Amino acid sequence: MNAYLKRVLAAGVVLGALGGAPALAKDLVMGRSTPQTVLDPHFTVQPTGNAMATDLYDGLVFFGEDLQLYPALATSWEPIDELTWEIKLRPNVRFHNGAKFTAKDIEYSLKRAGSMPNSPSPVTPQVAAVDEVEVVDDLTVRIKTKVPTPLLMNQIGEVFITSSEFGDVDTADFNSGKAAVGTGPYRLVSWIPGEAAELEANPEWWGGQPEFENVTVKFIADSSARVAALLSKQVDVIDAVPSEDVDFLRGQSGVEIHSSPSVRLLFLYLDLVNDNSPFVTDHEGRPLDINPLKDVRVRKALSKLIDREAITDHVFARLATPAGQVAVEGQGGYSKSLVPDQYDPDAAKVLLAEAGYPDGFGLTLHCATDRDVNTADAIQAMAQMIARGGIRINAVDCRPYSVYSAEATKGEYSAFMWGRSDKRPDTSLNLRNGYMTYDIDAGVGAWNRGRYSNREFDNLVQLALQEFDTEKRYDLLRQATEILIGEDMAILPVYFLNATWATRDGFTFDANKKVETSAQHVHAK
Amino acid sequence: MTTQSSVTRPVPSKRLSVPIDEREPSLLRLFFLDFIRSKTAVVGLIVITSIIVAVVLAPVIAPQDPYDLSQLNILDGRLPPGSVGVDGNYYLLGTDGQGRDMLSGILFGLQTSLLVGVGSAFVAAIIGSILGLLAAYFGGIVETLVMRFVDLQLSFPTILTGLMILAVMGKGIVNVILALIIVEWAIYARTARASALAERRREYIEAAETLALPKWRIVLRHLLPNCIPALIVIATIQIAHAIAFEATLSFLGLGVPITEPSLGLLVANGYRYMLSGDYWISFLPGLALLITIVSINLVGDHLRDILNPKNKR
Repeated sequence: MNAYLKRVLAAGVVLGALGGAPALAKDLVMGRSTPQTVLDPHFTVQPTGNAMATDLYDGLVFFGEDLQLYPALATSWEPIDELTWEIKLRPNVRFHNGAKFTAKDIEYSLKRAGSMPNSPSPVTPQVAAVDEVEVVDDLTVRIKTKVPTPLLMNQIGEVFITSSEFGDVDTADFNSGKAAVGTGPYRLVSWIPGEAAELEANPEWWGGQPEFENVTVKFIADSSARVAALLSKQVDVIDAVPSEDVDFLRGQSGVEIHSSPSVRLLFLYLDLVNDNSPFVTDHEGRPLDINPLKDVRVRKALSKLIDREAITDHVFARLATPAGQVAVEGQGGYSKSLVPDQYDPDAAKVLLAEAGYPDGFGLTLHCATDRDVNTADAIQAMAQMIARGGIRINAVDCRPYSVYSAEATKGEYSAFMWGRSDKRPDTSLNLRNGYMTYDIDAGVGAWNRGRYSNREFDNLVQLALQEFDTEKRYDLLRQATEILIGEDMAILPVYFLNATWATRDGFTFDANKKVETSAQHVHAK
Repeated sequence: MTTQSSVTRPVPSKRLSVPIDEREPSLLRLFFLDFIRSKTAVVGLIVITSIIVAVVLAPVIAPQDPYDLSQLNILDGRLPPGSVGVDGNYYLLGTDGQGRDMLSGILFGLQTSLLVGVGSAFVAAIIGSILGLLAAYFGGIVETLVMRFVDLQLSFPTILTGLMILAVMGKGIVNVILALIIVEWAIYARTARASALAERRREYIEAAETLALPKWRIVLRHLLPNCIPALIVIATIQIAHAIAFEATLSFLGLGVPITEPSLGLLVANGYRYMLSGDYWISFLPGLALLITIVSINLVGDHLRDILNPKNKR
């Protein structure tokens, strides 16, 4: 055979192989807006910093698109008495390293999640109700709670299960990949913080063969760069599509936008505890030794100064919804009477005058630049509106999330934007963790950065948490929310984000309320 | 620029009234005649002068105070050039994402840019020149100390040094100027030393030393004036450099506050809308930045040519 023929044959073989490629399982490249900050699923509940956790690990249950519970590692759960739940586990589940999944792993994971030091958004509240975990046999656990806890599964269902075989490991062991071993549909191949992560399919996953053989997650914080990566086909799907590009992308062939109203609420925290609030001044910029934000009339005036519809229309191209409370419609605890405040500068002026600030006062607004989409634009728009209402805006200061979240949690700001996703069936845990009087020993109010405190509200939430009857529980939560927002305006709810994703030809995405950008939501066409 | 205006004043009238000037032409006049020989430099000077006038008058001529949030309206966001807003405002150059009038934004942004550029160049020039002169005049340990420090400073990429300084000190105009001074003084020090070393061996310095004049007087009254031409040239180039540097820092989000955008921040904000075709938010401030820097460089280049004795015919 001459050399020429050999070459032609070789080319034929290569072409044949290429032609046959689509028959093999597809690979997926995702472009994600937020970097993975840790691989330790017990370190933080922040869904974005930890978005890969849903691919790598399983929980006892998962939360469906209707925000209800579905069996995952647990197949059934029922209360034996007021203080005890019995949970049956899924048989024949193996960890990525081959180790068998048993009740011991539940005991181990719940214990580990409850003792996580220095977390910015700890998982601790989710296991605060757990008194004791009793391993009955390999596939049965009994959980004793400190108080009657009807919502136990909602709480511990959020804890991802890791293998007890690793024993006493710290976050660094997860981040190095050593202990990052779960039961989820994909297993970790590599992770370069801030750049990319590689996953591969776990063919033995209890939920069936995952759709993609290899998954690459690229972290592309810059939104234009993310859009450009999609258009140049370097990635197959991107999340957090910038609203300024939505119309443009809709016109590109092959590109599809997937959007869903989400449970992610963006709101303004106000300092409700310090008399000398760090970023409050008088109307000429001089320090002020009383804190006007502690006056509910001032908070209500601020809320009336925010034209929420202008923000959702002009900053978010209608990919956001004005918010007037912490729950979305359909979620337990939603109140029909709490509608978003209408823009009403005259009423605000009256309220400010009543509170003793006819000339206004000075305020600096803070936000994070790289957390939620367009927050910096939204807060500048809010600053415009508040300034037009006669309140002096000393500055709008936006910082990287890593710096911002630490400072916000330490109480170093006076008025600052925050986002929270509550994807649970009702608001009980959101209210408990986010707004009950801050008490770290009792495990309540852990995320209460404004330090709101109202006994009546606390009691209602406490009652709701112990109420087994769903209707009654929802009613108690509704009353609590009406105090929190309607009476006290403890935070200013501004808008619910719509979550958006874009895919290129050959892929589609399940837009979801929970704002999860995980490989499980991507499908090949 | 101030020396320029003082020169231009007497010339035209003299030409008209006294066609033949019997006296030896003054140095400044020669300088002026040299300067106008380059058309591009004159154009550059005219452009930069008009920019300075526009910037100084910005609070009066700008349709809007772009830093006063209460004057902005989000409802007017991203309007193309020549649009009319909801309150009837006319936006000649369009608006940015916050509804900020681009024309006002650019005028005020130029103000920031020039303040940062001229301010930092001026202070850095004073610090750098004095240290450079001292190094050249005294030599020995002083020279070693100053010049090794200069070497150290110049061995770092300027953008890296700037980022580090701002990361430590935080954002804000004053901090940007400080960062620029720290980054730039070394260039002046090196230039001042080089020209002072040449002047140091001249007879007039020897003469001054024989008269036992105090050292400070020799350095400031005799050495410094003769090094000034070289420093002026460096300063014009460094002003342009500083403006670009501030724009870079703001583009990276480390310069000025977001509610008081400089040109760099305006470009950075508009950059996000480029894909959607809203070109004016990025393009126009970028163009203003380009014109400013090019004009300063044209003037600076020509100054270098005429102040360089080698180019004298």
